[in-house]
Amino acid sequence: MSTETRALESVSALIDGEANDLDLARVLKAGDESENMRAYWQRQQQYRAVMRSGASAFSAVDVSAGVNAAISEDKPRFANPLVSMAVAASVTIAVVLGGQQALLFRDEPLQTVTAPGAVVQLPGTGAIQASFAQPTSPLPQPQAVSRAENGVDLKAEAAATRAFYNELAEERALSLGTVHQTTSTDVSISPFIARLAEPKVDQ
Amino acid sequence: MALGDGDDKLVKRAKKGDSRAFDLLVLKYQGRVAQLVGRYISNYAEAEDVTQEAFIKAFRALPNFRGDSAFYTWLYRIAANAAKNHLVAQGRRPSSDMALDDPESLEVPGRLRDNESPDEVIMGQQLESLISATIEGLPSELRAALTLREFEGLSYEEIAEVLECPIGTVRSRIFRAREAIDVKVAAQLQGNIG
Repeated sequence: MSTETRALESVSALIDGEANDLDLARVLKAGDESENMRAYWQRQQQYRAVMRSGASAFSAVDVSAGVNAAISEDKPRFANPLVSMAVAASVTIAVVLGGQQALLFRDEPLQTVTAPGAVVQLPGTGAIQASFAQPTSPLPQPQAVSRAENGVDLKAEAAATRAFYNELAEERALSLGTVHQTTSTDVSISPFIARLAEPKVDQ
Repeated sequence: MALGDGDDKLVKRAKKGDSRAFDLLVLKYQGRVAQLVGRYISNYAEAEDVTQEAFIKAFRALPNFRGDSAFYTWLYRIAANAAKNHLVAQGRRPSSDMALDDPESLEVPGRLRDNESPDEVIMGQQLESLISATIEGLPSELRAALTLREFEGLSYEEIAEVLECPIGTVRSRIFRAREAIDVKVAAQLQGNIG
């Protein structure tokens, strides 16, 4: 049995509501490749109408070309949701990559937010303040005063505290950088170049 | 034989935006829809335009079709409304109103014969008698399979039980019967043209 004959037999089964998914796929594919299948379907529908109720003036009406022309303009409205998602994903990737590239190739240094805590500039993101800042610094001034009264070296204690916070900020910066690098590499379709600005901390 | 046989698969595909599937539904129902529209609008060209409009509206409304009724019932309702709206827009009143509870009742012969030209009547009658004669002349196993399907409305499985043969054989016989009709009609049309 030839491919076309098999397709026409599938048409016959589809007419009777006895077609399986393979039949349907075969019919639609055959319709793409040749006008014969479509014409066969149309003729068979006319024969059936005549068998059921006799011919009428409207048996010969054919509005399919006009309908097809009109609905072809509507197709985007019925686009596969996956296509829409793919477009949205492409736009997102383009924005992310664009941002990364812009950051990677700009001449001027990255603008970072300076604060007493560590500040990290990650490509593709805004500045991240890793840790403490002056307003939220837990340095307890009143206590320090009272401790100064007890002969404690306040300057040395402040320096030690600052060093501790710097270490903490550096740890967090490295951790964030690793997470960001891993995530970006997973979602990016182009090689990701990790870039991590050194935390700038006023000593 | 149910009018909506096989529509489910096509409607499902069409709802997903497959215009090829919708095209097959248009080819299947355009004659019947035009017949319905013709009950409201006697002018052939206008009826044809409204038929086209009805299918376009149906395609656009397809995402909202929930399948509570048969596809053709839903489609006929859209067509009837399109015809009525057309008449209202033209400042005319619908010439008839009809219940759409049983859309298959549309296929009552003779209702539209006013619109037909003598040539069309002859062509229609010729086609009708040609098909009947071809069916009569088919080998008995093909004729039995086709008539059980087309006139008795039996499923392939039921026909297979009646004829005591595999379903695949039923499918093949019905197809061969249809092909025979097609060949006869094509030959007749060629003879008329030539």
